[in-house]
This record gives sequence, C-alpha cells and structure tokens, in this order.
Amino acid sequence: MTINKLIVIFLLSFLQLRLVAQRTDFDFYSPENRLKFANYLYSTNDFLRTLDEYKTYLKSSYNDTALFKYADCFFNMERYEEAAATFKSLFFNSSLEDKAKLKFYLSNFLTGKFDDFRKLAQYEVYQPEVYRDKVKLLSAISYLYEGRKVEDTTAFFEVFPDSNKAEVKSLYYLKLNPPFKSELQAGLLSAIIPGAGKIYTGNISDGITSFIVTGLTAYLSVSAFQHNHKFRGYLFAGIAAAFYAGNVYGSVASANIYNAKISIEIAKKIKFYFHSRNYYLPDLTIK
Amino acid sequence: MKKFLLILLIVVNAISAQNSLEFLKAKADSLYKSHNYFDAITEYKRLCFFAEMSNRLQEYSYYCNLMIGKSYKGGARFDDAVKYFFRAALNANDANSEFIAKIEMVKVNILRGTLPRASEIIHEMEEDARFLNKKDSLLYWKAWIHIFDEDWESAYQILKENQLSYEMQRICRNVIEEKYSVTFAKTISYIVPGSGLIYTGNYLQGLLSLGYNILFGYFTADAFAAERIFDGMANGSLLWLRFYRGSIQAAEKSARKRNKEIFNRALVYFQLNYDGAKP
Amino acid sequence: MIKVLLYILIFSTILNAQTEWTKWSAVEFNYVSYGFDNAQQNDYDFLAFLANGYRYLISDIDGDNCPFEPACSAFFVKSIKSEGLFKGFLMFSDRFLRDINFFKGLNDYPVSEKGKFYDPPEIYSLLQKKYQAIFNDDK
Repeated sequence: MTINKLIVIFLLSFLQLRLVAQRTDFDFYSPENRLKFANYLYSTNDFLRTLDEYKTYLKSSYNDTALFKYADCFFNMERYEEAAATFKSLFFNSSLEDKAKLKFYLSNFLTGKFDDFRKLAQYEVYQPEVYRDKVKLLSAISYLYEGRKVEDTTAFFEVFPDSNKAEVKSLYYLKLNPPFKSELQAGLLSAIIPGAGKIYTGNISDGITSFIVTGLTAYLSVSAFQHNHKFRGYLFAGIAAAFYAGNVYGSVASANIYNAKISIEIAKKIKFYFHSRNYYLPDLTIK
Repeated sequence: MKKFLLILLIVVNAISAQNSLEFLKAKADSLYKSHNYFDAITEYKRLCFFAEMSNRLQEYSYYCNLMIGKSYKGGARFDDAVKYFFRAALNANDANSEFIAKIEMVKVNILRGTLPRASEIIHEMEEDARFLNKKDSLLYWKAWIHIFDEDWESAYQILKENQLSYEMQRICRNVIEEKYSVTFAKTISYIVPGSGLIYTGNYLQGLLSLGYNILFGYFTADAFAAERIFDGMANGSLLWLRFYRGSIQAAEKSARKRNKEIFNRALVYFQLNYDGAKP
Repeated sequence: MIKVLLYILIFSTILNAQTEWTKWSAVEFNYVSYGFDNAQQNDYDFLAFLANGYRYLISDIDGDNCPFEPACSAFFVKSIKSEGLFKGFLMFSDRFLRDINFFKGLNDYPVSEKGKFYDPPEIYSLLQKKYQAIFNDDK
C-alpha cells in the first residue's frame, strides 16, 4: 500500500515538474507586463522597440496613456504622418484629448505640408478649446516658413507674444525680401568686364584671376597674330573665348549659389527661432 | 500525504519562478544564435527590466549588456556596441568578466577603425593590477591593433617576442616579405624618374614617366641653350618639374596601393581561415 | 561640481539617444578597407575612353595637382554627362579659371575628408533642386 502511494506521489510530482517546464509561472508577455516594459523602454528613448511593445499591447487592451505614448514614439522618430493619424484616434472619450489634439496639429505642421495644415486649422471641431490660440500661432508660423505674403499684417503679428513681435517682423520681411544678388546682373557685368560679375557676388579673388587670365590669353592671341603665328593665334583665341564664356556662365552660377545659400540660411534661422521656442507650445509630454 | 504534496507543489513552484528569468534568457540567446539580432536585443532588454523588477539585476545586467553589445556588433552597429560593452564592463561582478567586456570594446574599436581608442583601453588595462596575469592576451590584442594599423612589423615583433599564435606570426612574416618599401620606391624615383613605378610593377607607366622626363628635360635645356629664357622657364616649371615631382608621387602612391592589396589579402585570409581569437 | 553634473547629464543623454530608425538585420562586416578608389570610369563610351586614357597616360604620373574634389578631369566628365556638352564645357572652363586662382581658400569651399576643396559639378548646374541638399548637410 505504502509503495503504491509512493509511486503515485512520484508520478504526480513528475507530472507537476513536466507541466512547469512547459509553461513559465511568470508571463512576461501578458498585457500588463508588456505595458510595464514598454513604459520602461519609452523612458530610455528606445522608441523603435517601444512602438512594437505598445502595438502588441494595444491589440488586446485599451489605455489612452499607452496610445498617447505610442503616437509620441512616431512623433519622436519624426514619422509625423503616422503620429498625426494615431493622435487623431485619441480625439474622443479620453482625458488626454486636448494634448492629443494639439500634438495632432503639431505633427501635421511638422510634416511640412503647410497647405494641408492650414486647411486643418480651419476645422474648429478638431481644435481644443484651451489651445485654440496655439493652433492659430502655428498656422501663422507656417506663413513665415513658406515666405507667403499676408494681407492683413497687423492682425498677423498680433498672435505672437509681445516680446517677440519685433524679431518676428524682421524675420517675416527678411523671408519676403531676401538680399539676393541678380543672376542677370552678374552675367551682364562679366560680359562687359570679365570677372566683374564674380566680384559682384563676393568672389573677389576669382574675379580678379578671371580678368587677368582672360586678358592675358586674349593679349597672347593678338600678339601671335601680329607676329604671323596663325596656329598660336587661333589656339589662344579659342582658349580666351572659352575662358570668357566660362566666366560669364560661372558668374551667373555664383549668383545662383549665393542666393541658394542665403535662402537656406534664412530658412534655417526661422526654423531655429521657432523650434528653440518650442513653437510657443506648453509641455506636452506625459509621465 | 496531503501535506507532502502541498510542500512539493510550493517547492517546485518556487524553483520555476526562479527559472522563468532563465527561460527569457534562453529565448534571447536562441534569437541571438539565429542571427536575429534586433529582436535579441529587445529580449535582452526585457530580461534586464524584469530582473530589475525582481531585484535580481545584479545577476543579469552584465550578461544582458554584453549580449546586447554582441548583437549590435553582429549588425555592424559598432557605436552602439561599444556603449553596451562599456556598460557591461561597469556592471561586471568580477575582474574576469570585466576583462572580457573590455576586450570586446577593444575588438569593436578595431573594427570601426578607432585604433587610438583601442590602444588606450589596452594601455589602461596594462596599468590595472587586476589584469597582471592576462598580459599575454593584452599583447595579442595589441598585435591585432598593429595589424589593422598596417604596422605589420610591430605586430610580428610582439608575437615573436612573446611566442604567441604561430599562425599569425607566419602570416605577418609573409606580408613583411612581400610588401614593397615606400621609401625605396620614392628614393629611386628621385634618381631615375619612373623607376619607382617599374619597381612596383607598373612597367608601362614607369617607362612613360621616364620618357616624359627626358622629353621635357630636353625641351627645357634646348630653350635655355637657345637663350629663350621665358620658354625655358615655362617648360621647366610647368612640364618638366611637374612630371619629375609626379614620378615620385606616383611611385609612392603605387607602392602604397600594392601594399594595400597585400594587406587586404592577408586580412581576408585572417577573416576566413584563421581560427584563433579575432576582432 | 556643476561641471561634473553637466558631464553626467550629457553622457547619459548620449547613452540614451535614439540610434535605430528602422529595424535592421545581421550584417557581414569586412576586415578589409578600400582606401584607394581610383578615378577609373567604368562606362563604355567615348568620354570614358578619353578620361581613362588621360588618367593612364598623364594624370597618374604627373603628380597630385588638383586641389579640388572631384578633380578637374572628373569634373569635366561628370558635368558633360549630366548637363550636356555645351553647358558642361562652360562649367569646366569656369572650374579651370577657379583652379588658377591662387588665393582660393577655406572661406570659399568646404573641405572634404581627403583634405581637398569639395566642389561637385551639381552646384554649378543653376538648378537649386540638384544641389540644395549639399548645403543643407554640411552645416
């Protein structure tokens, strides 16, 4: 009898061990554990992995904080279109509604499609009551980014904070009338005096060199013809013509490059100005 | 009987709770082994997180960081790999584990080409009293740094003096015997333009270079002899000097190029056929 | 003390910065480094034939003379291939003049990894779209 009992116990314990080996007591992949792990990853800024964890978690459960953070991962990875779409799903029945709406607008703004953004800024239903003026500000900034002319400038500058008004005004006019150099003028100047166009665009040493070299080759050609060296004459004439034409082209190109540099610089300046001020938005991160 | 069963149940469950972290570790390891490095990192991070939750971070943090570093290395993301090996070294429980993590740091620094940093780490470890008994290993890795720095002589010297890896010694010796001397190629080019190119096996270009030098040298001398000073100066500076200087530069470049080919062959051999520890 | 704190702060943000933007897979890395990318044109056309001939017969053995990257001959081939014979030739003439200028310096051109003045032909195409990325990147 006792032997039978022992055998039963032995078998039972064996079975128990087998069962344990099959499953783990602690389910690392249960929704709540996934959420904990995702929150940890989020706090270490590993957004790509966080995305995956939240995505799996959100398949089985709903939690608006998790959804917000999920959208925020897209936002932080500069995948603004996906971020906007995800923030949009938080618009109703959520305590984070207002923040999500504002972040939705910011994401749309940062996609760089300003026409679409301004259309969205017209929909009042989407806009949170508390942040309505912030959306207006963003849409004003979008005009500055694109260098678009505004009809009513006083109303336009009114939305910016008083302390920044003067700077914003100067940025607006800088973007509207950038200090470009005329490509036509550079080309014409070089056509009249070789190298003058390059001096006009600020490449002084290039201009002087062009003047001297073009002049020298032209002189050598004339002098060769005078001494009846026909081949040399034609050769230097050809070189001089190539330098002359190349220099006219180069002057136009250098004005073009100058303008490109200026417009990039202004765009960067404007972008930095508003980005460093966080687009006048409040802190939208959540714990 | 019932009591006994209950105790058994509790004991077995307690063991399995401990084993669950091991289960996660095994899963991560299997992902790592199947070269699925991105997902392996996720699992190692998960392991680290739950170890921290159950206050057992001490046991796992070194291992996790080391394996995350190795996974990043497997994806050739050396910057990230160094970061995690560094963390592993910080979290090491004993000198031996710290040594392993630091050697991994050296390896990754070798692979990403930041050799000064690799030497720095080796130097710091040589100063460290805990690693006194690992001198041979440190010297071995020093030789590897020299190899990637294209200083095969120093590598050979270190290996030979300390009687390390005979196969590596053999390969280093072959490279040293085979490679061209850059200084020699330059020096003979100073004396006979083009000879450096011929020495490195570019016969046609060497002869061309010599031909140009003779031709333009003749032009220059001819112009001076006929008292056409301007022509002579122009020929001398714009053509002859240009090709004379060029022959020396070309000889140097050609020798370096040939050497690079020889070094690369040796490195490929190391990568494919060498069985010892390597970066 | 503040410095130490700042150091720790910066260090920890570096350690925690996002470096993975898409999922990646295992990569076979190579011990071999290729330091010598010669300017050989691998196309089979007349221009490439000329350029390779020039490189083999003259450019390789007359020394390292061009301070620019890409070098003048490569600039010539590239500009003609991308902008056509006429415009490409004008671009090359302009480049040649700029090469002659003794006073060119660090203020005029960015410096490339090889220590040369970086001056790709796209910049001179008059089409800002083609080269805007170059200026956006290096700042």
